[in-house]
Amino acid sequence: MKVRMVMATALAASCGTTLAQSTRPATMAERLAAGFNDRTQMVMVRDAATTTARRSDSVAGGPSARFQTRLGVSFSGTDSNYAYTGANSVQCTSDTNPFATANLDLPDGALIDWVDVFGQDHSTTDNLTLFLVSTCATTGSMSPPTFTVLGDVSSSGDAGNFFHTIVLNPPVSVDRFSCKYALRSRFTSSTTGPCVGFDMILDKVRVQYHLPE
Amino acid sequence: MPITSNRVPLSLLALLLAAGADPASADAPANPEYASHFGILGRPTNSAVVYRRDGYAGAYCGDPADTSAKRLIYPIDAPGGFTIDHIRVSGVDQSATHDLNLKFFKVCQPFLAAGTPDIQLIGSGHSAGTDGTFSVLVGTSSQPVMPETCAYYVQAELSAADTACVGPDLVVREVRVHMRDPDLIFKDSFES
Repeated sequence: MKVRMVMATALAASCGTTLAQSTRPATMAERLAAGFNDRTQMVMVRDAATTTARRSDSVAGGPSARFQTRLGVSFSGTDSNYAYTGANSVQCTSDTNPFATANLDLPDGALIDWVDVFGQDHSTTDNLTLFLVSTCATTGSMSPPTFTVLGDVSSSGDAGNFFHTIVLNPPVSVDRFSCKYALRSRFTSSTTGPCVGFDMILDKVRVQYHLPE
Repeated sequence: MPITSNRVPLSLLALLLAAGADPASADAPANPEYASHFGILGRPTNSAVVYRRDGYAGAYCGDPADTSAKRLIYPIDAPGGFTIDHIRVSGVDQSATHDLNLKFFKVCQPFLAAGTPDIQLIGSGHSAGTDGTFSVLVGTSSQPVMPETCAYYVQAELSAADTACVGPDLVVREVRVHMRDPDLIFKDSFES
């Protein structure tokens, strides 16, 4: 188990992160918070940014900025118990599973700078949390893939329309050879639901990245 | 400069661009890019609604007795700076009572602030006419893509709210997005 953890740490460090950003094994609470219920899953956590990266405040985000958006309706439940209604924006209606995931399709070598979450929080009891997650595996390896929570943000304290950002400082480097990237949403403060329906709406998640020079 | 079969003289291309003319047909513009969705890959607006798949990965409503609205969403991934020229939807319509209603939407919010989504209808279309396969254009005015503030999607409605649907008599099989890459000058069109 210790050898696997060392290998997982090395894989997470080289895959989707830079040398300046460290990862560590997730605690049980962190695993459950992100919807990783299987104890056999290898789950790491990227340390949160300690400084806020400077961001272009121009309308287009600067000439080098590129974007990929996932509407709320693009998120699929982590199991068949997830239920929702909506159109482009969605509200979770599940009694037992508040988790849903949307895959990203980013160019190899892209540097993910920010992940912006747009939604509506009308709940006085729950919050929506959004995670950026990578799944990495060495080609031909017999070991299970390693999940890394690269960042997360919550709608805590909001009333109505909200906008929050996962700051990735330094940026996350996309490695398409070994890794896949996804967004995971949790529609309630608890990890087991029930969802609060119309009181919590996910409009969209927008990933801002740039390509290296 | 001799005109070869796969090379367009700069002078002629410049004239065409200046006149706003599309050197190819409206359905296959110069420098095109395409993105396609199988019908069955549409995202339901209600996870409780049952959809089934035909032999061509098309989608149709799986429970004709269910009177809730049957709508599928097809999000469009288009790069910034591109132009969406139109959407082409293909499928099967053998129903005398229902048509496949299609809408092309843009939904925008502020770049770095909260805000209620501003949903704008860009184009619409529907299947109609002779029973059998159909191919419909949705939205024919070019739409510049602004991913920093907006997202784009197509909605296919198999039946409206409070209306029973018609099962396999109405199928959406493909949603194809026709786009143009603005990087015209440096595309392979000028290479042999």
